[in-house]
Amino acid sequence: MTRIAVVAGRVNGRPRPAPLHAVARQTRRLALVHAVIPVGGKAGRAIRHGPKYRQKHHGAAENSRQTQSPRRHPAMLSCHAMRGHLIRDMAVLLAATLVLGTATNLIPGRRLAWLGAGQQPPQAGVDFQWMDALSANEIRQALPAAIFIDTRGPGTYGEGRIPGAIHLSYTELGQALPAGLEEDMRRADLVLLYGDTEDADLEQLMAQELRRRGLAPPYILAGGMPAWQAAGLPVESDSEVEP
Amino acid sequence: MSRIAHFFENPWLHRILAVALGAIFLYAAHDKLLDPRPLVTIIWGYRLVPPQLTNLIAIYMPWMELLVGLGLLTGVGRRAAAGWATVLLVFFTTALLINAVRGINVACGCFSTSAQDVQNAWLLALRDLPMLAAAMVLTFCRPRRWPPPRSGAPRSSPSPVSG
Repeated sequence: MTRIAVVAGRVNGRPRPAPLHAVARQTRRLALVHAVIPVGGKAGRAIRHGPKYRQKHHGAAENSRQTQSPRRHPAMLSCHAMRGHLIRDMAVLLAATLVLGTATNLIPGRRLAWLGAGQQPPQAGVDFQWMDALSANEIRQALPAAIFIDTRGPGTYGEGRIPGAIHLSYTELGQALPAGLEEDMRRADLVLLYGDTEDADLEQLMAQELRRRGLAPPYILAGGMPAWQAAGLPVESDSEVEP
Repeated sequence: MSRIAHFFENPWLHRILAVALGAIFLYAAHDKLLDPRPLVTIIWGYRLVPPQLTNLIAIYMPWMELLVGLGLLTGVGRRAAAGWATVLLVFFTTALLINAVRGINVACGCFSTSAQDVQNAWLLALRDLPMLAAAMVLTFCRPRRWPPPRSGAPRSSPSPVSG
């Protein structure tokens, strides 16, 4: 024999609870033998306290109501935990991510090794070497075929740079290099990269990319442009170069 | 308590949060999708995942951010998108907090792939918290139907209290 407890309460914005005889017809249609309709304070508490209260006061009857009820009460639909649909939709989103990521990583030119084998973090002594500002200045004067590459933005490059330095950003390095630049770098006595941070993360990455293209490991200016300026070494700007 | 729950179920609140969070995720995905390679260095800079996994994260994470952004903006699979936004933001915030405790200010990689974009890790984690709260509201609170049903309207289906 199935027993059911129907919790009825007045909810703002919804019709009043159905009268007893309507409930009885409905319960008969569902082949239910018994219907209990608490109305008033108890029903209000049941709605306010949620499933724990109902479980405590109605026990198995509440479970039966939940399985047989054609609709859930709107008051019970508020802030709730993840359910089946959410998990399923999240799985679909994850699958779409995997497909798109895999497809785009097969495009030549922007390919990354799947397990990091070809894109290990750059290492000092392997992909690049550090050089301090004073040594870099001596080499600049002694070796005319040394190439200094400024990796900062075009604005800061124009405002002040190491004399003779050329501008090359990481994004440009990923695309086609200016004509002859790669060949010049191959022939150069030395290639030195500098930016404006102490860590020089971007310069390390650029050095790794140059090395991947078959160039000798370049040097990176330790401390970047701030260290160069702090040492009182010469700086040129666009206004000095232009006539 | 019910007032707070009522506020979090406001459909307009959900729309505003979804559009704002979606726009943030789309903006965050933009740079990384164009060139994911600098992201490898940034992920490596967190020093939390083994080097073998850094590339996989750099390959897939921008696409997840893009799909989350699109889902939140368009409303297609909004709860799933919000669920993934919650997962991602929990991951980001935890990673930032771990580095903040270590005393390392990392390049966030949040909105650009510039490894030079080093900021205070505590502030970055703090910045993530409102976004995390928004994502959790969108995931765990279901918005009320809009417009609400009128009390005098004829019933099109049996009342929930009628058995």
